Formats: sequence, C-alpha cells, structure tokens
Amino acid sequence: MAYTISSTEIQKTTRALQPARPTPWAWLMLPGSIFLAVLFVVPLGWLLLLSFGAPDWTIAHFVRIAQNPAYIGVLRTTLQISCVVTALTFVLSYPIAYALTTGGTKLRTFLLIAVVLPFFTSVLARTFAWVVLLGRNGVINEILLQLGWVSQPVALLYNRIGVIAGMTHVVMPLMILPMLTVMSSIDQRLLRAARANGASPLAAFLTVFLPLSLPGLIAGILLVFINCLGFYITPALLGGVSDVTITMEISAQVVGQLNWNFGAALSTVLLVAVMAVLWLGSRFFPIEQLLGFSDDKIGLDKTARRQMGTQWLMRIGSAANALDRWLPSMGGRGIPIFASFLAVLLLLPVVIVAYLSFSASSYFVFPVPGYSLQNYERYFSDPLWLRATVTSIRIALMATTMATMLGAMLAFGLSRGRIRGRGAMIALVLSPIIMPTVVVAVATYFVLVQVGLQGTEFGLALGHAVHAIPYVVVIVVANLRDLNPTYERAARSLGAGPLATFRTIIAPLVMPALIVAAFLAFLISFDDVVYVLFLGIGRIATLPMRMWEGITQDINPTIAAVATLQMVFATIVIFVNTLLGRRKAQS
Amino acid sequence: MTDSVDIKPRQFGWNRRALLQGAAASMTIPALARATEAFAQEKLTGSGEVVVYSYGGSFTEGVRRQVYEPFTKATGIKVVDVVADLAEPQVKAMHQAGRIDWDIAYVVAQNYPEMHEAGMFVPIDYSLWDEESLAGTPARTRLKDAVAIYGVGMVLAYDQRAYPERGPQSWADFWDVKKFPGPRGLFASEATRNIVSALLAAGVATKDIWPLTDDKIGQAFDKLSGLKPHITKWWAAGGEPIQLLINREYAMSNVYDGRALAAIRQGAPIKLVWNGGYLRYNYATILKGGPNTANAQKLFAFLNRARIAAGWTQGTGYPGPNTNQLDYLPAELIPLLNINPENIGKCVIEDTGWLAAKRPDGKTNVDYLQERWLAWRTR
Amino acid sequence: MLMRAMPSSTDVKTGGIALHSLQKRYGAAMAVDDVSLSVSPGEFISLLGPSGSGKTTTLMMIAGFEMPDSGRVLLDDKDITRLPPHRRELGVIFQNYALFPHMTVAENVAYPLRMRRVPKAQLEARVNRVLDQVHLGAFAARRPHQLSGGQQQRVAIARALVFDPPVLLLDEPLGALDKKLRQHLRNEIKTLHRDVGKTMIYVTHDQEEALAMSDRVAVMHEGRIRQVSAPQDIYRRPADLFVASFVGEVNLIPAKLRSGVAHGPADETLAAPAWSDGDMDATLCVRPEHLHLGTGEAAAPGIQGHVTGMTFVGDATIVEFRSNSGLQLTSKVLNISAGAMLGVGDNCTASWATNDATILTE
Repeated sequence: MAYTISSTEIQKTTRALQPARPTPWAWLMLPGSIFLAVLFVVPLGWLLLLSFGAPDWTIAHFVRIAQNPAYIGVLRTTLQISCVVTALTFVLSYPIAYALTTGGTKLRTFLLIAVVLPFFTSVLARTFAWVVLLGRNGVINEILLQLGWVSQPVALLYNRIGVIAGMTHVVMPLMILPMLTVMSSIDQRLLRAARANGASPLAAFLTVFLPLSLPGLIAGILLVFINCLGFYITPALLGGVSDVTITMEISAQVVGQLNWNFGAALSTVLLVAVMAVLWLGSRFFPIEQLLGFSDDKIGLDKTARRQMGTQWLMRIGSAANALDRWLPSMGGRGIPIFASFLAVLLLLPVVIVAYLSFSASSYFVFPVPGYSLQNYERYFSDPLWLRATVTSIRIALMATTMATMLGAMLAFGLSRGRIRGRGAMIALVLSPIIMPTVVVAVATYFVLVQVGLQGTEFGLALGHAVHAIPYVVVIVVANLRDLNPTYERAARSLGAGPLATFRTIIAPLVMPALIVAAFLAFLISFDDVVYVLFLGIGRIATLPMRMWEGITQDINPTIAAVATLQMVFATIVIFVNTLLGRRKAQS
Repeated sequence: MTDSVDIKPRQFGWNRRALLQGAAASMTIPALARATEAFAQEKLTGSGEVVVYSYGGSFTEGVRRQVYEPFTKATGIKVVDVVADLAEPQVKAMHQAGRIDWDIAYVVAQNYPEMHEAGMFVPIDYSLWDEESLAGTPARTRLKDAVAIYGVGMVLAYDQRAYPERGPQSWADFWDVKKFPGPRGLFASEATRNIVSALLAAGVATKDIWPLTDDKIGQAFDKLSGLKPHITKWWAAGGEPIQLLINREYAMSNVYDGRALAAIRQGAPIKLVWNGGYLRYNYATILKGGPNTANAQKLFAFLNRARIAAGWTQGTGYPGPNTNQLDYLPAELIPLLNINPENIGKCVIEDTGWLAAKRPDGKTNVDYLQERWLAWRTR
Repeated sequence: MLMRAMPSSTDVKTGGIALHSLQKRYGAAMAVDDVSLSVSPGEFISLLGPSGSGKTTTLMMIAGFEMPDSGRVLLDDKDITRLPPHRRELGVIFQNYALFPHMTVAENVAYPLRMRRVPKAQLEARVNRVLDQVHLGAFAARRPHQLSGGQQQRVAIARALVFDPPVLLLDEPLGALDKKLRQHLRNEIKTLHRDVGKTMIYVTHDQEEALAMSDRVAVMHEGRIRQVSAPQDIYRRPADLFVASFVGEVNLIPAKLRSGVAHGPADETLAAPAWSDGDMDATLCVRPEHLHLGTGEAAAPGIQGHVTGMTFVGDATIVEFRSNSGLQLTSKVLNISAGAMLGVGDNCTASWATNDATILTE
C-alpha cells in the first residue's frame, strides 16, 4: 500500500507539466519594475539613441569602434582582468565563506571583519598601502632580497599583478556574502550522511557541499564579474600603461572629452558584450537555475545538463576519495587555518592604512617619521568632513531602504511569479551594474532634472537604489530556493493572512539574506563617488566625495584617518551584531 | 591704461613692503582689512548669491579663504560653491536639460570651443573690470564669453636626493637614461603633453611644436616607445607623481606645477625644470540661463584684480593671467610660478585652437591624438 | 517489506560492536559518562532515553562523528575509536534521512558505491537491485523532495544497505512520521533486520518502539546506561526508579521493609518478593495491569482506599484509585467481560501478586 504514488504527487507532476502561468507573486514585481523603468530603462533608452547619434542618425560611432583595434583591445583587457579577478576571488573567498559558515563565533567575527574592512579604506590610502607592501622598496621585495631568492626587486606593482591584487582585495565581500547566506542554509547533517556513506571529508565536500552551495557561488561570481567591469580608479592607480579598462575609456570620453555619443556607443558595446558572455555562460551553466530559480520551469535539456555537472563533480569526488589515505590530515583545522591566513593577508593593507593615519608627516611616508593625531584633529575640527559623514549616512540609509524593499519584492516575483520572459527581466535587473556608472549617472540626471530632484539627497538616493537593487535581487533569489513553500501553506492553513504569513514566516526565514543584502546596498551607496558627481550637481558633499577630492586635489594622510574611523565604525557594527546574535541565541 | 599704471606703484609701494614683511601670511584677511579703504566706493556691491564651481579639496578651501570671503565682505554677495571632478559634463548636461543650477564653471581649453558653439556661455561684461585688471591680463586670455582663470604648467620635476649634484635640465635629459639613471614617471591619461615632451627631447624647437603633424606625432611615439621600459609607473591622479617622488619610487616625472608647489612649500626635496614646460589655460565661464548672472559678472571683475589674483595664486598654487599680481606675491614664491615671465618664456603654450579643430573625418585633433595614444599604450 | 538477504562478503558473522567506558564532555556538562556496551553480531539493540540522555552522542561516537574524550569503540575487536567515519564501513540512517536534495533517488543510492569506486556496470546492477528490493525502482529518477516520507525512508535504507555494511546505525529514523506510518515502518525495519541479519543499533526516545523491535534495550539517562536487558526484563524488572517510570506506566508505593515483611504507608502489609538486604526503606513498583482492585472479603490484603475516576480506553479501562493515606494509584483493567465493574466512590483494596512487584531502593 505504501508503494502507490500518492495523489498529491500526481498533482505535483501534472502541475509541473502545465504551461507556466503567472502566479499572484508576479504582482510583487510591479513597484520595482516601475522604479527601474523610470529611473533606468528610460535613461538607458536615451543612451541607446545617443549611441546612434540621435537626432542625426548614424552608425559612425560603432564604425569607429570597429575600425580601431584599440577599443576592442581595451574591451578584451577589461574582460580578461574581470575573469582573472573573479576566478582568484572565488578561490580565495570560498574557504573563507566555508570557515565563516562552520566556524565558531570568534573565528566568524574575525573573518567577517577582515573581509569587510578593505571596502572602507579609501582607494588612495589603500593604494599607498600596496606600495608599502609590493613596491620596489616594499616589504615583499625586501623579504625576497633578504632571502636571496631574487637579486633585483620584482615588479609587483604598476602592472597586471598590481591591478589584480588591488581589485581582488576589494571585491571579496561581494563574493563571500552571497556564498555565506547560501552556505549557512545547507543542512550539515548531509555532510555526515556523506561521510557515513564512505566519503572522505574532501569527497563529501566535493559531492555534497559544493553542489549545494552553487546558488551562492554563482551569485557571487556574477556580482564580482560584473562589478569588476566597472573598475577604473584602481587599475589607473595600480596598473601599468597598457592596463586600460573600457570603463576608463568611457569615463574619459564622457567626462574628459565630452564625446557623449561615442561614450554611449562604447557603453552599448560593453553591455552587448557582457550580455553575450552571460548568455554563453548560461548555455554551459544553467545560471538561472543555479541561482536558485525554482525547478519547475527547467526544460529536460537543462536538467540533463545540470545532472552532467553533478556527475562531473561526483567523478572528481570519487577520485578524491581514492586519494584520501595519501592526503595529509589537519584534523579538520585546515580550512579555518587557511581562511585565517587569507584574512590576515586581507588585513595587511588595512593595518598599514590605520598605521599611516597616525603619521606626523603631511605625506604618505613609510615608516612614519613620527606619530601624531593631526589627521584626526583635521577630520574632527572640520565641519565639512563631519557634515559629509552625516550626509553620506543619511543618503545610504534612504537608498538601502528603497533598494532592499524593492529588490526583495522583485526577487520574490522573479523567483515565484512564473512570468514569461524571466530571462530578459533578470538581464534588465542586472543591467544597472553592468553599465558603467558614469554613463548611468549622466542618464539618470536627465530623469531627475525633469522633476527637480537634481542636487537633492533624495534624488541621489534614488540613483544609488537603482545601482543597489541588482545586488539585493541576486542575494535574495539565491536564498529563496531553500524557502520551502510548505511553511507558507502551513501558515495560511493555520489562519494567517498573506500579510501575517509574510511577517511571521517569510520575513524571519529570509531575514538573514535581507540583512546581508541591505548591508551590501548600504556599502554600495556609501562608497559611491560617481553618482554623487552628477546627481548631486556639486551641491552634495558625501564622505567618499570628500575623500575623492583629497585624492585629486591633495595627497595627505587625512583620508587615512577618515578610512580608519570608517573601519572602526564597521568593526563596531560587526561586534555589536555578533553580541546581539549571541544573546539572542542564549535567550 | 596709463591711468592704472600711474596708480599702481603708489598703492603697491606700501603694500608690497607689507607683503614682503608679512611673508606667506601676507594675503590673509588682516592685510585685506587694511586695504578696504581702497574699496570704499565698491562698484561691485550687490546682494544675493552666486553659485560657483570649483574642484574641491584644498583648491576650494584656498579660493574660499583668499577670494570668496573677501568678495562677500566687499560686495555683500554670498558665494555658494559647488564641487565636482570636472565641470564640463555637468554643464553640458544642465544645458541639454535646460535647467542651469550654476552660475560659473571652469572648463579646460580644449572643451571650450565646442561648448562655446553650443551657446552655453554669456558674454563677459568687461566694463565692470578695473583698468588695472584689464591692463594686467593679456588680451589673448580674455575671450568674448570666457576668461582664462588660471594657467596649469606640466613640468619636469626631479628628486634632489637622487641627483644631488646636477639634475636633468631638459626633456632631452629626461630621455637620457645613461646620464640620469633612475625610475621615471609620465602622465598616463593624456597624449598631447607627452607628445610635446618627446618632440622637445628629439630636438624640435619650442616654436615649431604646433601644429602636431602626423610626422611629428610618429616621431614622438617612436621616442616614447624608446623610453617606455624606463617608466616605472604611468601616473593618473595629480597627487601621485609628487607622492611617488617623495617615496623614491620616481627619480623624475612630469608633474602639475601647482601640486609640486604645494609640496615644495612643505619642504619636499623636489626641484622643477621650467625648460620645456607645457602651459595650458583653463577658462572661467558664466553659464547662460544661470540663476545669478549679474553677480557672476561681479565676481569675475573682482577676482581679476591684481591683489585678489595674487590671493587666488597663493590659495590654489595656480596663477591667474593678471601679471600685476606679481607685485603682491611673496618673492620666494615667484620662481615657482608659471606666471613668472622667466618661466613662461621657457614653456610651450597650448594651441587650443589647433587641438579643438576638426579633422576631415569629423574628429577633433584632440580625439585623434587620444585615439592614437590609446592604441600606443595598449599595444 | 520483504528484503531478501543481502549478499554477504564473508560467511563469518561480523558486526560486533563493543564500547569501553566512553566519555564525552561538552563544556561542564557530561554528555556521555562511562558508557560500556557490548553488541553481538546480528543483534538489534536500542538506545532508549529522553532527549539529552546521551543516546545520540553515543551513536555518533560509534559512527565516528564525535570523538570520545576517553574510552574505546571496537568493531569486531578492532579499535576504531580514532578512525574517521568514512572508513568505518558502518551504515547510518539519519533523523530526517539526510537524503541529498541535489541528487536523484538513484544517485543517492549509488553514492556510497561511487565513493568506493565500484565499477560502473556492477554499480548500476547493485543500485537497481536494492531499489527493486525497496520497491522504488520506478522512482529512481525522482528527487527526494518529490517522495513521501515513507518512500524517503526506504531510500535512506537502500542507501545505507547498498554497500553491505555489517552494522546499521539508526538515529530516530521514525521521528518525523505520523503514528500509523511509524507502526508500519517499524515492522519493515524489523523484517529487514530478520532478513539481512545485520547488527542494528537503534536510537529512539519512544519506549514502545524500543520494546517492540529490539533484542535488547539499553536505557540511558543523564549520559549513563541505567539498564541493558531484553525488553521483557526492562519492563518487568526495571533496575531503578528512572527505568521503571520511563518505560511504561508504573505505580510507585513507598514501603518499609522490616524483618521480611513489607509495610505500606498506613502500615498495612504489602505483597513483595523476597529480599536479602535486611531492613530498609524502599519503593515498590507495580504496573497498572498488575494492580487489582477488589471489594469486600474476597479482596487480597493490600491498600485500602476508593475509586476516584474511571476512563474507558477501548480494550481496557483505567481506574484511578486513592488510598486512605492519600496515595494515588492507577489500575488498568482489560475489558474482557462485561462483569460487575467498580464505580466512582466505591471503597476497595488495591493488591498485586508477589512476583508482580519490584523492590527498588534509591
């Protein structure tokens, strides 16, 4: 009797075979869609028109790009750098995310701080820290020379190595945070089950944990890859003469030479190229499914492909199992030790920045000639710095609120709405971070100016929200996969209305992902210098803007002090969070 | 004009002494308070505000202290500063959107012609200017709807510690890696100035630089290719080469003169070589349709007064075009400034007209140079 | 379920487990305290206890997921205390089954064979055979979340059996299921045990399950094993008060043992088996079904009192009794005949046969 297929299963099967029809969840996409349509699609359309020379129609700008191999070369360089940084970031981030998931409170706090702090160091202060570490007279070269491994300083900076190190250092939170949220929801008992079934720790990891962590991994890779395309300050400061990224070139065209049509054409080429890369990627990896979109829309071929991926990992896992007896055992401490080692590396430049902030010199000099609090005095005695700090926080909070709410709703709608053309919708949601910020910012200005919001903090927050929504969507979607609809049905059956269900069931379950998403949204708004230049029309001075002026107009270690204060603040937030979490767990 | 020449020595005789005694602090407010007498009948008096663009950081701080505050005190007009990386894209955007929120913007010379043609600027009311200001400001820097606001020199700078005996004296020396060994730096983002330096190093005379024909460009790129391995870092932000000279990552580099000036005044062991410097003017413009055009005209007239111009120079490190300001500047500062006739005489002055001119294929010469530069650097 | 005997790798009976003085401490708390146990090959033994009693920790030490602070785990006289779990060759069935959600049923079952690098042809044959045996052949391509609870359990069993381990460790495998299904699956597991003849160590907090399935039951409390015996002995001869009250219902009657006679709270003489330890205070344990309530002269000597409540439960009636000294007792009377029953308020005497009482001193 127990072997007959139950009627619910039949229903489930038939439902999966029916053509997809939008569910009420699709309505959740409405506010976010309108928001993006007004603040992004309209400007994007304007940009497209511009690239075709509107109102004098021409394809001359595209011809110019095609004719000069330099532009294609720059695009190739950009994609190369982005790929390498993404790969390196993945390799370094995974063990850290893993240790963050499985480690104790102390290890977690330490790792989280190490990952997040680089984000708060001013780009210039950080660059100088890299000079201290990797420069011709830097620490690494000093060590290599002392050891006699090299006879001349090795060029580690002002070339591709420098760009990759500098970028990787900053983008790691974008990789680790989505991974972390997904990894924490993996049932640790599954690993025990694998071990009980004969898998060595390595094999259990490869065949069970790794495949289950895929949504977070794909989300992280996607975010980092796209984010890398937009880098232009770090490559300029740490790279060699040939490390020109497309964003550097677009920025020069738009800001420096005022060739907006040509800049728009370059942006269009970039957008098309990235979409092509993502589309190609989705041919080999079912990105949509891996990101965690529900299974019921997968065609048979995609299921087969996904199966193949699992098979492949299974083969590696079983091979690893055979090697088990020859692998050194660290008694399960290998990963935490490795992750802590990486974290220390991440913190090195950060520590140097903090050290420089106490310099008595008015330039960045290492080692500092004397200690002084002059940089802090300068910060605290200058009302402009303090005002900029408050402004930044206020704008970031507004942007975070908007982006988190709209992004979360979009994520639910995309994940559960079963709408047609979901792929296109996802591409659209991701576009704001694919397009170079400078181009989107100019375009957004034209929207804001129609309603007189240019130069207002709210207007700037709107721009930041557009830029932060993609991050929120990707993180929330990657976490919705494990949110079992049964819980919601159970709640509904127990008399909870839709709102009550959301409040009591969905919100608490998605909360960790929402917190991480909101945190990222905050970082993105708080770190921006490009939107503020255009949307602020010079009237809004944010903290990064002040720091940016410090870079272009002055070089003095005051920015190191500001960066250090930001890092102290971030550290306190993380500590308080940990303490609250612990108290909650105890009560 | 002769009137102003007559007046000038009398006024300045007293002031100059005070300035020299007062050294660096000379142009601060006390000195100005003493001078208010001269402005008893201030013709620029007005009300309201004026929205002025500047670059932020210490630049804006300096201008605020040396120019805006005296202006407000003298005229009653408040100055609201707006800050951005570069003004041009914002000005263009405001113009296209039809909502002009600023009154005054600074634009680099090469962007000026396009913006001028698009009708973004208001003609400058030179009738508000003092005779002295008009006399001291060369006519070529006073256009119909723009006036040079300051000159930027890109000059060779070297670390005195690296060459204690005798440092490089020309771009030829810069290229001579045997005679002057050491890591070098050049500006990464822009073609023109590197090309001009290379041509000077190749022996082209200052007066023969413009126009940059394809022959000359080719010659310059060959020269640059030869030096490429010796450039340890192509710098991108203005403060970078100074920082790298101080950290001994560079022995010599091209630098912005104003940035070097600030460092040298703080005791940095940096020496400037004016020979073969490249001088470019940035222009101040009044935006058509701006909220306070009349006040903007008054600020222009005010800040080109020799005394105020000297304040501007001390506040920013970049001198405006009024040569009369030399009388108000501390003597030790003058050799470091591009307004010093001795220095400017050794410099190549940017041919803005040629750079902004369109080529047969519709690209401007600047665009063409930048495109070739991109191709060269990414090769 | 009919599970044919799995092909055994050797004819020698293996799968004996011995635990020697296992200890495990979490911070200040002693999770497992001096646990020793010997399980013979082919035996079905349950670890029974309330939550927090250390039964799961003990099982996880056998499986290799927890390291004991001291003590040893032996499998067929080989010390496996420090052996990592994947080299122990023990089958484990987890609470909620821990099926891999990203693999199909067939892939789940094939997993242990893949890890042992079994050649493909042989692997497929073995997976198909096991799936057929658990009647899930048609579900091979399904994902775990598309299966019912019972089907999931059978996948878990198939996965644990496919590599032919000598011992199966089961961690509350029926915990999440409804009562009817539990009973059904309980029988399946028992049948499985009979058919495959593997040693099974079964962790549960459900005494009924433990009594029904096991050859022997080890009752655990506060990290210690209180009693290891056959189910009947656990029930009839509990070793201490905890075992007595944890396994089944029990009446606890304080008694004074004086010169070979047991005296109740009102000094009445009570039936009790012989003891040899001299005079002492003790507790008499009497199961409700052994407690007789009689009226009038016919009543055996016992405790005087009256009926305070009666509950009809189908096959039996539960009678609540209160002695004159205030002691609350329960009697379970089978509804065999519709004979004269007591009524609430009736005076009566509670008594039991000498051998149905157990003396516990604690």
